[in-house]
Amino acid sequence: MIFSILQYLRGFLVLQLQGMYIERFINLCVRHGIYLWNIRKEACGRATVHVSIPGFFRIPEAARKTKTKVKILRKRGLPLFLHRHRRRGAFVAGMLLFTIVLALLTSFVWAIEIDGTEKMDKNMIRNTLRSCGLDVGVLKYTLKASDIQADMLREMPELSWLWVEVKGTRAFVHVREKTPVPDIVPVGRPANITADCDGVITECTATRGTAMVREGDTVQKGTLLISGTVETKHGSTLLVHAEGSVKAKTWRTRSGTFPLEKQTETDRGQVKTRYNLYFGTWRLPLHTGRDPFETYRVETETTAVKLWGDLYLPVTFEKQRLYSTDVGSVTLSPAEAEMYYGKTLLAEIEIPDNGEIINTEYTHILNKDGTITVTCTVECIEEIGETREILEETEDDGTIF
Amino acid sequence: MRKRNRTPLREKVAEAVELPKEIMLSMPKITVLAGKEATVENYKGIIELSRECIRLYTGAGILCLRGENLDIAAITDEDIAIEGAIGKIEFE
Repeated sequence: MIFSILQYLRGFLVLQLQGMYIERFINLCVRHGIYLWNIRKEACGRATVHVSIPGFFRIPEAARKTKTKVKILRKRGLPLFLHRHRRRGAFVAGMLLFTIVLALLTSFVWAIEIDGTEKMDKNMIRNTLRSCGLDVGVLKYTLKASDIQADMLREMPELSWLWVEVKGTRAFVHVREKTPVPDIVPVGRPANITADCDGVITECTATRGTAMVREGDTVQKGTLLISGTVETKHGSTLLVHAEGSVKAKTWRTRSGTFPLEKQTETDRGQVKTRYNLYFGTWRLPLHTGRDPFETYRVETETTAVKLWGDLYLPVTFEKQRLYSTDVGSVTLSPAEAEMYYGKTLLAEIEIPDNGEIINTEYTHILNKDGTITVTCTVECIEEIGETREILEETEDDGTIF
Repeated sequence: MRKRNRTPLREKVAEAVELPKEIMLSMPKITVLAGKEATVENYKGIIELSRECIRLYTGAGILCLRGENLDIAAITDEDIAIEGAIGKIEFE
């Protein structure tokens, strides 16, 4: 395959040989370094051979010595093709222009894809990439992955690792985020345990230090739960690294106002498909543009147009499926609305990993304008202790580790 | 007598130096692929060429490949690649 493409680019000739000493002719050619291939013997002392263009000009000597007649059967390959059409300037120019345009179009980065992000905003990374020299429309040969990597890591300290890979006309940016180091007070340093949110204590066990709260106590964020200050029998005080478990009942609420009338959309079962072509942001509709249905729901599927595997062009093909629908509205009863919207509110509430939901409550208030305000309250039991270092300057004497 | 002794010595040297024998002794190395393709390395020249028989001059005498629709796919001054339905390979 590669061989034949190379031969095509270089150009070659198909010759017909006629003579009594074809074997000698071939031996002579080979000895002179003329490269021959696809040698086929035919009847009556004839043979066809393929020969390169420079090789062809060195053939006459061997042909004369062996009394072989040489006839050109075919001329193949790009150089000979161009030579044949050398007088058709516009045609050749068009071909060259096409090749140049194709080469130009495929030497830019037409899409940037970022993967590996967890919490960071891709658009922010995109903007920073732009300032580091990687943008849509940048010549891909000017990009240096290691430079971009160094610049990006300097610009965005939130990133722990980044790599840029250009495949065809797309740049893939692989990213790893830094995991923030939790603020841990080293064991051995005197520390208190304080509340990290409001709640009612359900359990307080101090394994080291003095428990300051009891079951049933109401605490606020920052209240001292287990103190690292311990009084000894002799009346003196020691500073320790408080340890223990403090569980509390906490409440989280979220509310929102919603209309009682809910829009519904039901499929009627009719489907129409239509296509669009996008050149960048410019759209070329491949349909009449009339909406086939009064009301419909659209599902779109886009594919980037590419050449030979990875060379993506700045063209996207969009397939739209239009489903005809019946639009209606349903008036929810307050109880239904409470359940329906309450569920969506519940999904928005963040529950810590160690929390256990013990109760969920929904309440609602009907407003005058026909809307409903739903409140969702989640009651959970969770660990609320947070270790805080005791920062006062104290003497180290007597500290228990 | 001298001629007889020379070849074993050369072979011994080839073995001792661990060079491929076909290079050291300029012997033909024939690679056949499923009776469809044959490559002869270290051939010296073509003696006869036809669709049914290709005879090559080599360091080990005349090598004759018989078959049907034989073509030379590629040829250089050292190697020759033959394509077609190869039936027989013999030294004459």
